[in-house]
Amino acid sequence: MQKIVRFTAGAAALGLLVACSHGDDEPQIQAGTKASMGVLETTDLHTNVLSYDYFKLAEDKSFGFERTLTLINAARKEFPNTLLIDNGDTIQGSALADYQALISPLACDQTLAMYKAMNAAGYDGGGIGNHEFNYGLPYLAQVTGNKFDVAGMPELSAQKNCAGPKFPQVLANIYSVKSKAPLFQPYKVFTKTITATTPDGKEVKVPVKVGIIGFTPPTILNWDKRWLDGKLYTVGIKEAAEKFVPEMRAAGADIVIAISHGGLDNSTYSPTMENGNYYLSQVPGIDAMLIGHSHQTFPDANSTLPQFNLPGVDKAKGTVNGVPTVMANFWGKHLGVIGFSLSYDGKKWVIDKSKTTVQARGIQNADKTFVAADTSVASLIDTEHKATINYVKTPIGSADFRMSSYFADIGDASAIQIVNQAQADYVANYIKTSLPQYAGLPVLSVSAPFKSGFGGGNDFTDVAAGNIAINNAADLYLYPNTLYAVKVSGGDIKNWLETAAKRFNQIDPAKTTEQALISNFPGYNFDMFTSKDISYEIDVTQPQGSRITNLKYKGAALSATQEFVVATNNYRASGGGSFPGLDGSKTIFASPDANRDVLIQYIKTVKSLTGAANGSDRSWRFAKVSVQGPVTFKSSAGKLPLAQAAGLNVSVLRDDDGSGKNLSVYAIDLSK
Amino acid sequence: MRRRLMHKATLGISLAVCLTGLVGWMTVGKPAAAPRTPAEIIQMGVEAGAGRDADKLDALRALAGNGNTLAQRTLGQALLVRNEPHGNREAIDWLQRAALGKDVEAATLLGRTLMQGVPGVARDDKRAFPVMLSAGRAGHGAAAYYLGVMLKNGYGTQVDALAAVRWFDFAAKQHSPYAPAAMFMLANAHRYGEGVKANEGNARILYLMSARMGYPAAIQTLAMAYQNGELGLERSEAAYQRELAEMNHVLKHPQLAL
Repeated sequence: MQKIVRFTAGAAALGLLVACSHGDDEPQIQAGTKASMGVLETTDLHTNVLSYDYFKLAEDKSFGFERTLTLINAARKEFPNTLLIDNGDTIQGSALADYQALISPLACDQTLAMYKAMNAAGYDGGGIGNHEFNYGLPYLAQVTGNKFDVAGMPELSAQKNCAGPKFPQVLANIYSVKSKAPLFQPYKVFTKTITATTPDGKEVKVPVKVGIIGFTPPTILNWDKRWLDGKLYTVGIKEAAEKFVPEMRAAGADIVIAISHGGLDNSTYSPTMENGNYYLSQVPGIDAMLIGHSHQTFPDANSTLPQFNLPGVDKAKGTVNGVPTVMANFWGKHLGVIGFSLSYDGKKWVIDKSKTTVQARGIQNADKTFVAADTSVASLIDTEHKATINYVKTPIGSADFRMSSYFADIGDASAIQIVNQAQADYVANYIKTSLPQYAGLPVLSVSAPFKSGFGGGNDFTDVAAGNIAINNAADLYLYPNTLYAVKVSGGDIKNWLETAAKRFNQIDPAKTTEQALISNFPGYNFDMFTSKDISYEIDVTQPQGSRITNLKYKGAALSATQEFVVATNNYRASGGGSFPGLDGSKTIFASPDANRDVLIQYIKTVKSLTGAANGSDRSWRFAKVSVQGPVTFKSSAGKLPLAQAAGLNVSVLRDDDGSGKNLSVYAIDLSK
Repeated sequence: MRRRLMHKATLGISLAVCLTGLVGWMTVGKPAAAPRTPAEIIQMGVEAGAGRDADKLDALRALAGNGNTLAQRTLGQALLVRNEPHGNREAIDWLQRAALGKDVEAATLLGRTLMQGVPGVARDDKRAFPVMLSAGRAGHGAAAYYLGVMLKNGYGTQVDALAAVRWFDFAAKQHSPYAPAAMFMLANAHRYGEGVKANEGNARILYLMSARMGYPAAIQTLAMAYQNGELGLERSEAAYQRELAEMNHVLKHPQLAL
C-alpha cells in the first residue's frame, strides 16, 4: 500500500490520495443495490498482543489481542463486509513494547510485534493515540514507516525508509512547527470492494469509497513535552475535521469514519481540549466515530460515567448527537462493532440510519470465562515474546546482601536504601542539567516499605542476595509510580516524619503487659530517609505529632527554615496519605519516568550492590526508653537472624501468632 | 459580543496605564487587528507557545495590547509555555491585565503561577491568595481547588481546615479538569478527619469518583485499599491488579501538572 510520508494540502496531494479509486474500469452499480458492513474497532491495545503478564510471568486471559482476534473473526462471519480499524495507543504500554523500543531497539527493516499481529489480522486503517508519542518522534517515524519533517530530525532525504504497518495511519490535528504541514497523512480515502445484493437478488462485488480521518488529544504537547516542545503544534479536533472532511467528501468518500483518540466532554469547546469528540460529532459529514483513550466501554446502557451521560449522548444505542459511536475499552478486552446498512441510490452509497447498530463486545463470556485465543497470533510473535520474557528475567546487577522488608518498620534499611539512592541520584542529576535554580539545595529522598505484612508472612519484599533481575526491581518498587521532587523546608521535613511516625502506637513505659508497636497506619505511608546526611529518633512514648527528636542534617540540628529538595513519588507529592503541605503545591519536578525504572537504571549503573554501601544506612532509630512489658510486632516467621544481622534488638516472643498466616510475634527492646 | 469586547478593551487599556512594564508591548497608533474568534485566538496561543511561532506571538501581543482579554490570557499562557525568565515576567503582566478585565481563567492562572513560582517570577503566596479568592468567588473550579490547598496549608493566608474543605467541596462539584483532584483532597479530608468529621464511607465514594475520572493518586489509593483491605473494601487481588494497571496507564498523561 502506498504511503504518503508528508502531506501537503492541495490538489496534487488530494489527487494522489484518491488516485487509486478513479479508474475507468469501475463497475456500474445498480440503483437499489444493498449491502451490510461491520466497522470493527480496537483501541488502546497498548501492545498487549498476548494474554500475558510479563511482570508475573504468567498468562492473564482477561486481556490480549489474541482473544480480540477471535471476536474479529466472529464478526467477519456475521457481516459479509467489514472494515477493521485501530484507534491508537497501540505501540506502548507493556514490557514487550518497552523491550522493542528501549532495550533491543527495533531495526529499521523490522515491524513491531503489535503491527505484525495487526497486519496479519488485515487492518484497513489506524489512528494515532497520545501514547504513540511516548518514545519520541524518531522512533514513531521509524516504526510507522514514516519520515517526519520536524526540528531535531535529519532532513527528509537523509531519513531511511523503514518498515511500518501495512495499513494506512491517519492523523489530522498534529502539525510540524518546521513544515507547518500535518505530521501524518491527515486522512485517507480508499476503495473497498464489498459484497452486495442487487434489487433482483443477485450477489455482486462492488466498490465503496471509505474515508478515514484521525485525531489525537491536543494535550500531547503537555504530556510529552520533553519530546514535542517546539517541534509540533496541535490544531483543534473540530477545526481539523471542518477542514478535511469536505475534502474527503469531494474526493468521493461514500463513508467517512472519524478515528478519534479521546472521549466525550461537553464543556465549552476549545481547540486545546483533551476529549473533543462531543464537538467532533457536530461537524457535518461524519458517519461514525471510533473513540478511545478513556479506557471505557461505549455503548453501555448502565454506564454512570459523566462523559456518557451528556445531553445528546444515547448510551444505550451508541450515538453522540446522532452519530454512531463506539469505544472498545482497552488492552483488547472489547471489540467495537458498528453495523451499517448501505444502499446505492444511483449516484452514491447511502447509510440507512434506522438500521445502524452499535455494540462493544467483550472477550469475557457471560459465565465469566474468556473466549479462546486465536493461536495464530502467538506463533507470529513468538520470538519477540520469548525475548521479552528473557529480558524481564535478565540480571541487571547483583547484590551481596538480601534486600527485605521484614524488619523495615523496626529500622532495617536493606530494601529501602537502594530506592532512596536511585531517586536522589536521579533528581540531583536532573537539577544539575535542567533546574539550575535549585542547584544550591541539598537533595534527599524518602521511600516506604510497600510490602509490610498486611497479607501475612509472605507479603514482604524479599530479594535474595545474588543476581537482580527486572522482576526483582518490581518487588523492590511495587507500584507503578512516577518520580516527583518537592521543595520543602526543614519544618516541612519534621512534619513529614511526624506523619510517617503514625505507623506506631503510643507506648506506655509503665505498662507491664504486651503492647503492640505497629498501628493501623499503613506501611506504605511509613516514609523514611536512609542517608548518612540526615538522622532522627522516633520516640514512641510520645503522642502523634511529637515523636521526632534529635533531627539533624549533617550532624547539626535541622533548621526549620533551611530548604531541601526531596525525591518521592507522584502519590505522596500530590496528596496521597494527606501529609501536611504535600498536595502538589511543593512539586518542582514531575518526572515522566517511573520510580521503578529509575531504580532499574541505577542498579544497572552501580552493577554490584553491597550491604555496606547500599543497604545499611539507617537515618532513624527509636529513642531509647525502658518499657516494663514487652513491645511487640508481627513479621514473617523464622526471620530472626535477618533482624540480628541488621543490628536490631529483636527477639521471638511466639513463633506462631495464631493467625495461620506464617507470622511470628517478635519483641523489640527499646532500651538499647 | 463585539460591543462587550470593545468595552472591555477600553477598560483594559485604561487600567493598563496603571501597570508597569507594559508600555513596550502596547500597540498604540497601530490599526486594530482584525477581530478573531476565541478558537482562533487559542490556536494562535498554541502556535506561539509550543510552536514557538514568533509571528503568532506578535499577533497576540497586538490583540492583547488592544485590550482583547482572551488574547491577553492566551499570550500569558503561551509565554509560560516558553518558560523563559523575561517572558514569564511579561506573562504575569498580561495575566494581570486579563484578570482586571474580569477574565476568571486568567486570574486563576495568575494565582497559580504566583503560588508556584517560575523562572523569573518568585513564589509569592501573599499576592496569589487574593487573586485566587476573587476567581474562586466567581465560581472557577480550578481557583476553588487552589483555594482549598492554600487554606489547608496557610499559603498567603491563615490555616483554615474548615474553609479548605468547603472550597474543595465546591471545586469537586464544578465541571472542571480540577474536579477529580478536588474530590481526592476532599476524600482525604473525610478519611483523616481534617476540617470535617472522619467518615471512611464518604472518603471511599469520593476516591471512587475521582479514580473513575482518571486521577492517579485516587486510583493508587483504591489499589492499596484493595491490596490491604482498607476503606471498608474487601481485599481483592484482581481489583488491586486492575487498579495498578489503570494507574500505570494514566500516569503517562496526568490530568493536571500538579
